[in-house]
Amino acid sequence: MKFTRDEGEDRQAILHIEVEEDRVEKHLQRAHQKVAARINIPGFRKGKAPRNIVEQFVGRDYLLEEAMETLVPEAVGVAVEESDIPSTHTPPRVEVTERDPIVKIDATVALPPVATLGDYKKLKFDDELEVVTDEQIEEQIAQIQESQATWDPVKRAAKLGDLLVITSKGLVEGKEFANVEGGEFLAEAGSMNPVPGFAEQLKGMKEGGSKEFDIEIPADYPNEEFAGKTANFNVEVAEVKKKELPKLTDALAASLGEDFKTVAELRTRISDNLEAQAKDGLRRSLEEKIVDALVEGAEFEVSPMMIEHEAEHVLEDQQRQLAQYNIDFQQYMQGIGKTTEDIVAEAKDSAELRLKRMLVIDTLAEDTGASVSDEEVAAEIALMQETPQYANENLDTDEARDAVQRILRRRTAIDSVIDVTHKPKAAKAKAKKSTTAKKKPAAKAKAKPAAKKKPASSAKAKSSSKDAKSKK
Amino acid sequence: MSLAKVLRRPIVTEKSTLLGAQGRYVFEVDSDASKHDIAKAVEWAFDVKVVKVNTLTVPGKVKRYGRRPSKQPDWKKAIVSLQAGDTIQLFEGA
Repeated sequence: MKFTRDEGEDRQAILHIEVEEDRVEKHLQRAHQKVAARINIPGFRKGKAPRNIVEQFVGRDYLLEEAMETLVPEAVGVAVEESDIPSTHTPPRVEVTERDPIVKIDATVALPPVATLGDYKKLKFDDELEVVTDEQIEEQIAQIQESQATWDPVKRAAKLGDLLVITSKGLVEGKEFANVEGGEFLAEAGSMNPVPGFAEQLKGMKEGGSKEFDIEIPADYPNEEFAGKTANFNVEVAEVKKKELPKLTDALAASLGEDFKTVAELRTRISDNLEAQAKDGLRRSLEEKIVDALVEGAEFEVSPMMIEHEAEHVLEDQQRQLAQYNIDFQQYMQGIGKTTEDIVAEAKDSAELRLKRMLVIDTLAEDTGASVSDEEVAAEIALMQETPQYANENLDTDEARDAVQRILRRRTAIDSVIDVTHKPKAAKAKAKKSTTAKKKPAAKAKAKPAAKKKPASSAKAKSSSKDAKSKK
Repeated sequence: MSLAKVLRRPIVTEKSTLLGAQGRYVFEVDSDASKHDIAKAVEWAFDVKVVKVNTLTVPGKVKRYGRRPSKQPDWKKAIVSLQAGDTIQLFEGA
């Protein structure tokens, strides 16, 4: 295989390839076998006609054409490999310039893009870690109480907020309307179900009581048949139930099934969780901002071919998502009023951005010399395996390890930038606590607290799986 | 018999291709041609030396056209063995 290399514009190289005869012959033979098996030549069974007969029958050009299909990708692949152009996963653009008797191919190959980072060390971000407040904790506890609430039957008159078991007959101009037979009804103030004002009418009723009343159905009622008319209701109350929030006791805390036994422990757990969430959120927003700033400040040389290739991926992703929701692509385009060209152009833009973001992070990793040890990769994989998402997947492959390593490397690189650029202006005392906690862990310890705190670890696993997906 | 009228067409099939590898070539020939005629005709047409000619009459198939069955004509097939080393380009491909 002989080839010469020309540097093209926009991070592309052109390889002029001359394929040696042996290789062409090999592919011609393969082509002959394929063609012979496909066509009927009188006097021969399928696939049994010798080369010269087939060649006479279909013509040498046809065979050559067939041979090109396998020959070109192979020849280009070999040439690219021999030329030491690092892979960019972008298929080269290929043109066959001559093919008989010598096959000559011009292949335009995308070179890995380069980014020149701006002076990112001068960036400054003063986002502060949100301090976990008592109100937040109380809110969470209230939610837990709410979720554990029970409904207890009471003899007293019904109040708003109670749960009533009712049998209700509604009539609108002789037509049945919103009939219920022994159904549970939550009498909430301002409830629109079945019509506004119904809940208020039930107020004061007792177990076993009944009542008849009229309600004006508002003019904007969804069912036009009844809108603006008067409904007559006849309601019997079978039961009145009061919402009973459980007392916040150690027993309640223990009943939640997690490994804590007292209210105090529950509180610290909630506080820890909230803090972990806040930290995670802060880190993510910082990462977002840093990458944005890096993209902003960097200069890029990216092959347009690469962008196009990535855009195809973007489009595929889109279509897969639509397919998941059972939406037809054509309909979708009509629905949002865009043409295919618009969508392709959009995909290109987002592909370019995606590439650039990846690129700056990788360049950054290069720049900061971020490195990840095999043990760290193994630890992360073990952690991922614990999440339900990956539980059944075999992550013990070179590919998975590679992907995880890349993710970790990026994370480490970003962390190092956060260290340099993140300077919260808030009270030093508070900041100190959080930064010392942050600095030391960087990447290593990062995985460990995550292992302890459930929400944080799942959030992390999610974000890393996202990374992994966009990688592909 | 006129030499030009002896050979009708070459037979190109899987079987005849295999024979070709042994220097034996298969033709459809005029039914009235003798082995001598065939040998002379092949030598004249392809400029080769014939050492042996085998012939057979292939019976025509009975085919039905419309209502009554009819018989296709019989024809004569000749397998011509050439002197070692001689070939006929017609079979070997252009």
